[in-house]
Amino acid sequence: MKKCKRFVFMMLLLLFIMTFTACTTQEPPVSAGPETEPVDEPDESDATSPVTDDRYGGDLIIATSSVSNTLDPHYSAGATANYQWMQYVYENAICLGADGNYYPQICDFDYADDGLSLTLTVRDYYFSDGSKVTIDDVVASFERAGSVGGSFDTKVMSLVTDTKIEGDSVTYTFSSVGVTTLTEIADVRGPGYIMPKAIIDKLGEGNQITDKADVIGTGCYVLTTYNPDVEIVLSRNENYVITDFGGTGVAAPHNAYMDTIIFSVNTDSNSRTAGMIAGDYSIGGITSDMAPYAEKVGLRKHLLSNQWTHAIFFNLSEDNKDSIVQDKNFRKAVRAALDMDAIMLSVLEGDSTRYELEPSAIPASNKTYYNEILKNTEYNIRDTELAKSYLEASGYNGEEITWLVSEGGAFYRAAVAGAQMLEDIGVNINLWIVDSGSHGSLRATSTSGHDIGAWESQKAIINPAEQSSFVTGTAAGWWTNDTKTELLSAMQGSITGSHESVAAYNAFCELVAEEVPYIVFGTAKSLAYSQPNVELNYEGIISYYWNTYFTD
Amino acid sequence: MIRFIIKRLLSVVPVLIIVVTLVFFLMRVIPGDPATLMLGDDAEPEDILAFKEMMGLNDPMIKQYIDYVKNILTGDWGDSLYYKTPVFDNIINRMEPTILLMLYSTLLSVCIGIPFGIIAAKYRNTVVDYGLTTISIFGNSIPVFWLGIMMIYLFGVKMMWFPVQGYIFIEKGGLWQALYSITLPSFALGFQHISSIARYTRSTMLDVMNNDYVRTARAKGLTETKVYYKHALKNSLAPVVTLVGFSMAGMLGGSVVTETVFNIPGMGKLAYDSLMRRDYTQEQAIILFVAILFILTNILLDIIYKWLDPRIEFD
Repeated sequence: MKKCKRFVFMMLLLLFIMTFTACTTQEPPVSAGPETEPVDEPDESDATSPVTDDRYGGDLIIATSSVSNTLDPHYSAGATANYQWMQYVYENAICLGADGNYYPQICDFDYADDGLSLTLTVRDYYFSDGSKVTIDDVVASFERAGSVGGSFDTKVMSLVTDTKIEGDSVTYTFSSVGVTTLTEIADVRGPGYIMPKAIIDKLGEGNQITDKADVIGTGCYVLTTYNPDVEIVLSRNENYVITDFGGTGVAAPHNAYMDTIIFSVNTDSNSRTAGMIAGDYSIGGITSDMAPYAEKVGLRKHLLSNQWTHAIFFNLSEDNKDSIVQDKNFRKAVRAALDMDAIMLSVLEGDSTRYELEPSAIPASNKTYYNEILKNTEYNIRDTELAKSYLEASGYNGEEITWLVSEGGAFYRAAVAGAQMLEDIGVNINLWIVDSGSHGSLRATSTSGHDIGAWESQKAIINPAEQSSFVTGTAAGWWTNDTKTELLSAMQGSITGSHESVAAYNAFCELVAEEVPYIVFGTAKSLAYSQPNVELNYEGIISYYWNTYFTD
Repeated sequence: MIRFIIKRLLSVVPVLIIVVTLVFFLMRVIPGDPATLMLGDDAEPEDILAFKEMMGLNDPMIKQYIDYVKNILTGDWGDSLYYKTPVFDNIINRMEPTILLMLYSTLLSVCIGIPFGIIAAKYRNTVVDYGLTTISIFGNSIPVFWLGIMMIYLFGVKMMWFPVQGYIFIEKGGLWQALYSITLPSFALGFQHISSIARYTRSTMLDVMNNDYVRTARAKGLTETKVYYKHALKNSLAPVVTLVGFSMAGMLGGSVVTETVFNIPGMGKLAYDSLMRRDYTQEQAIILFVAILFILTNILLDIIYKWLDPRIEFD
């Protein structure tokens, strides 16, 4: 009995000591960085040489919640889970710089002024297995990407009326101007990747890549390990020749500073946070409640200007024809009642550095298309008297308005804040909260029973006609309008940047400002954290890490 | 016994038919579109349509069901909508961490729980008994996810004794590395079972200790240790075996919360991810697999009872 009591007492004492010693602040270890001797500043001419440039080296571990579901670049469907690693292994015929201009990548290109033909000439380029890229590889890749169906087919291949191969060049003739054709070909998110024709022929029609050995591209990394539930490991392509494509962002040289890039899959945000703080990851996310602690232990916070807009859409479909939201005055009342600043602050959980009050569907950096029409039309006015007058004009009789959102997250926070503002002017709001899995499908179904739906989308960079969420598609709330149809037709049928195209877009913005089919709250910046020794070093709205390096 | 096993297996068939049918239709009744979920909110409508066509999701539901049942009967469980690889292969690939987690946490819970129960029974109504009972109640009351997060913070982030997340496959790092990587989750998962096993053991030991043969053993002059471990323990283990057996089967089905919190790529996480993605075929396969496991576990437990107590007759 005495022995037993002594044993229990010792166990309790041990537990107490362990707990007490745990209450110390420990610095998290930093990610593995290269161990180098201090060197003089490298000569500019040798800047890209791994021998002299101490930015080279190290393993970058990125925490990701996305699980890749295919090895095949043409079946990637532009899903984040796939392109996040494919963009390192594969490249495109042309690329899109952060400045919004197109640049040659695998091919030089000549796009006719009338937009009805495109000539691609393959450059001196090699796949990771050492084989030279030929124009046949480009043509075969385009055909395959189009044969899968999806956007590459509708935006590129279905417009092709003639394909002429001459030497190292191919000339595509199009039946009509495709405002999104070049963007689709250049999209670093795929599926316009170039792969060897030999592999395409080996796979045959309709078959996807299932063997890692067939993942061969021209990119600066090669696929080493593919375990999509656990990790995807990329190693530097030692055959890659660093090329200056002439632009910025994706069109800047791909230096491949890291020896390996590892996408470590972790679908739980709390677990990712713990991993970041413990130093398991070089780059990852932190839950908002742990953000102050993360910064305290030295993690670096990065605001990414990736141009995500938050908005609501009114269900203007025939299936919702009896709803008061069909009345323009009601929609104007909603817009007048909302304090966009407060809503965006709620969406971004009180971090005012993470958003700007900018409702445009195209970034302000795009001088050709950007305008302030939406910003100047009763945007962020929070005028309850005006709102009430619109409400009265609509004949609103107190009926319940259903606002569909997913549980938690930005949509929910926006809805809670917005619903309160609308109730202040006398609108009876029913917040319909569903799980995130159901939300995507319900909001895209006109018969779901919602009057207001939530949406977020990245802005178009080049041409607003590419922005399907705010221009076309179900995300625009099934808004049918003859003027809209005409203007969209004009936008999609004219050359990007032409007077006709810009005029059509401006008129489209005037129409949206008047009809209010949707209301954009503002533009948000995403947040990423990194270990203190990580220099992200990228530009543009798509994240890439081929120019990321460790500072120690 | 063979006849008994065959009869039990045959009686399983109608159960499985009901499980297959219920799961099939329930999955499709849940709101959510796999194409949109898998391709993302900004997917082009053409991509979504192409995906659905490719996956056969545009076919009538009855046709999908008939095709599914036909395939099941021929041993083809189908391909995952998400991974496009055979669902059974995906389950097998995820078995290693789940099995290891199950075995490790069961070992911990049995090695700690049974002795705790015996000690509590031996020193019943003393401070020791009360202390161990309190720990048991504590263990049963704590949610696994909370305990997991606390352990991650204490032992992973602060003390850095164990990794905070992830699993090292045996092929990659060896058995010891694999066990090291799942020590925290095994403890978190096993803690609840320690409590249950301890309480059951205590309870059944107390029942058994009142029997005549135990009094006889003591009267013969045997030491208390021999009385407890040689005579009483075996007879008190039957309900504990049931508990351990079913908890093992449950864990094999996937400890969803534990695997999610600790980011272990096991079956539980696969089940959760598949549900969130509306990966119908994968989720159906997992549920069917778990149902079969439970049934087989039930049969196995019956056989173990027979070994523990030869007096038991199979009907």
